[in-house]
Amino acid sequence: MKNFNATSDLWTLIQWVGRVMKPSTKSINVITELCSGCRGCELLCSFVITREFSPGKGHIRLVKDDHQAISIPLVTCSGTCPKADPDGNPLCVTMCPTGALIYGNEDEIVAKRRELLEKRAVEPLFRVIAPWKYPFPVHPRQSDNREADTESPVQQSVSR
Amino acid sequence: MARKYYGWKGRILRVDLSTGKITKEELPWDWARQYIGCRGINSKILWDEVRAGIDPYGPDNRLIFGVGPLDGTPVGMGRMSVTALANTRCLGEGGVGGFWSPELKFAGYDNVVFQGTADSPVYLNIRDDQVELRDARHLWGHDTWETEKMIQDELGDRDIQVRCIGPAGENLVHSAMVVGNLNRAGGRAGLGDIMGSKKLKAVAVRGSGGVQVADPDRFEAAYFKIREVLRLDTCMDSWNTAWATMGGLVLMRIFNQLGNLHTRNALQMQFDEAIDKCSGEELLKKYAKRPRACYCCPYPSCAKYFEITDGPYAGTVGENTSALELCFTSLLGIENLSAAMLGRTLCNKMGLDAFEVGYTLAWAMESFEKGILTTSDTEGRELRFGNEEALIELIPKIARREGGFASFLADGVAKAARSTGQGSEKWALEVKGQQLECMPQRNFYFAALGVGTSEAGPDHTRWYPPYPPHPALISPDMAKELKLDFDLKDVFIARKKEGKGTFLKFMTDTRAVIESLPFCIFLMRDKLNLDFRYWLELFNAGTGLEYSLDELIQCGERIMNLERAIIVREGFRREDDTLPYRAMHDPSDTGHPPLDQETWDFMLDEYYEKREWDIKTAIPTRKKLAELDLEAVTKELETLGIEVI
Repeated sequence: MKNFNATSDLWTLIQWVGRVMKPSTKSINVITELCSGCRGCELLCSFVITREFSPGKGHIRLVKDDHQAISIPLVTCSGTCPKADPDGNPLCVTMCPTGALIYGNEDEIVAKRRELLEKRAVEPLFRVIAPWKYPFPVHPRQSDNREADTESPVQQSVSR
Repeated sequence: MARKYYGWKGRILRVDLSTGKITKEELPWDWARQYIGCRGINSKILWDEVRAGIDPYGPDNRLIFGVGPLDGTPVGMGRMSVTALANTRCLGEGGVGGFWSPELKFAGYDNVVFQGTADSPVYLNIRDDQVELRDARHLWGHDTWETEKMIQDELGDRDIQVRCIGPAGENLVHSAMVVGNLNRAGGRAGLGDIMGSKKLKAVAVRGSGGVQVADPDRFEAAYFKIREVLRLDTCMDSWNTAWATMGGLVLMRIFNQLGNLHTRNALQMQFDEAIDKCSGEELLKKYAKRPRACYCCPYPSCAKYFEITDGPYAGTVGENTSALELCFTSLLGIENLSAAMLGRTLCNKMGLDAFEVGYTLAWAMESFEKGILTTSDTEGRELRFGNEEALIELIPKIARREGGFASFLADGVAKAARSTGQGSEKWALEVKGQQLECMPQRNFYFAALGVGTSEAGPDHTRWYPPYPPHPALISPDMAKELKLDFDLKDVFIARKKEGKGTFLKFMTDTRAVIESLPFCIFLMRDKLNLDFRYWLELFNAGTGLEYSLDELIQCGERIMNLERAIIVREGFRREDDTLPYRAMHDPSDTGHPPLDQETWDFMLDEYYEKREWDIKTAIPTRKKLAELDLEAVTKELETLGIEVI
């Protein structure tokens, strides 16, 4: 067979069968304004699938334009991952340094988005890292009365 | 049958710019085994192919782009090394992060060697096996941001990675940089000007392949171990979280508190009056918009995409990647962070080393205040400390050598001070013709020794970080197992001369390994700093070699000795391993006495002795070179009439 990759194609098949048997309500979502564009998800995903570092072969592709400061991970995966952590979070989500990739059902995703917007309004640190990735408690500054970020929340979910 | 490489790609691309001939050579297995890759193999190629005393701007110089065996994996972090014989005649070596190096690996090469000089501007386009030199006359004169965009548009691919020079490199400005990904720059000792002298505007690369490691499962486990050490919540290194979110600007406040911050050309060592206006917190609060990072960096936001929305510099965008703002705020006495950020963006666009501009201007400002430079020299500019308009105005002019004064500054602080004379050499902060990089000396003996003895001029990446992990993290048993021959408590004390030489040998050897693998030295936190078993495991799992700890660190020592031989061949000796006059003669205003000659000699003696170099000349001994399989080096030095004992 042309370009047959045992690991990759079998894994796609298993994922497909799994989705039919037990549809998951969880999906991988992206908060694009937190993405640092490091391409780690792209590379690690390809390694999980093919056991070689070959970013074109993963289930994530990062669309990136430095000149416009744009980086958007396009995820084409349901989130079932052989390297998932005990809570079921796929490797790309656990390894994302800023917390831009989140895994959950609709309610969890909405709650995380709300948490981010609320905390960003009082603490500028959360413009570069997600509150759920930052390890220490952060106390809001008294003097800092910045308005909340007015950008509209964009949901970049391409899960199926 | 050709050897199967894991990690490495096993191919070197050689481009002769004079004839336009492009050849693909096999990477000698011995080089990979002995010099690892990246910085190591670059230095090896430079030693082999460049003869003593050549003209750095001539066709005989080499410009080498190198990536290492772990580039293209998440460990490599996009680090690469650019090497050439610098215009100061010392080793020109610069590490760059970003996204270029994995792309070169995916295209299937380990190193790209440029030789000769092109007749008219060209750029190299690498797309897997197809490599071509293309006309770059339409790119000549454009800044690095425009060049990158134009190449990507021309070749029709947004993901093409570019390393290019700006106007500074084209005009042979001392320590011009090789820039890419808009804000990633490399070449402390000026490699952009070597690239400019070769009329090479850019190197564009796009690859579609992948990188294979010898044992994927073992490699994965070793990688996860490193990620575990660097976790923000459990890492025992107090710099870890701060650097991960604030990046290099975290140094501003720390240096200020320690009395280490070069302020007004190091006349003062604290910038208390404006520290709140220029700190990393201010950057986060006012300007940071989004996190940015190099390839697969585990740190969320060592760099930040910033936007200035108000004030005179509104509309400036850019990326805060390292501590460059230090040299545009405290060093020049400028109390405005946004001016420094605009300065950084301008430097990146022009392809200039911000440290070069900072230290040269600081020297000029002090000379002006002391009356040695007058308004007739500066073409009417009131060049006093704190003059931010002059900084913003001069950066593009220096890069384009517009006007006599800008051209005078473009030659660097060492040349400017030498031609001005009248004692102004005393406040020219340079070593080996290369300006400092905001690392303190009087109050920080280890950093002083690192700066003074570096083969590439002052370059903190060769011995970073300046402190070991907390002694409690490395138990005495563990220290014995790792064969650490220095007292961890000793090296922790900033102003103690004993033990610094021994520590520097360990640090420079291991950093040579790290920069050859490569890995980002700014992530050498916690145990990773000293416990090289993490790296050994990654290297063995990645390449399929079975090295012991000693063998791996010996590779680093070999690289260090070879690099020393390169500058010995160019005439550098012990007396060139020195510090700026100010650090050795003037006390600092924070009450720290100068680092006197006696202390300096003591530390140098210890360092050379530990390295088994000749204490009188700093030339590696015959015995040491033989031990490192560098007999050929001994032979060549002797044919040049250099006595090797």
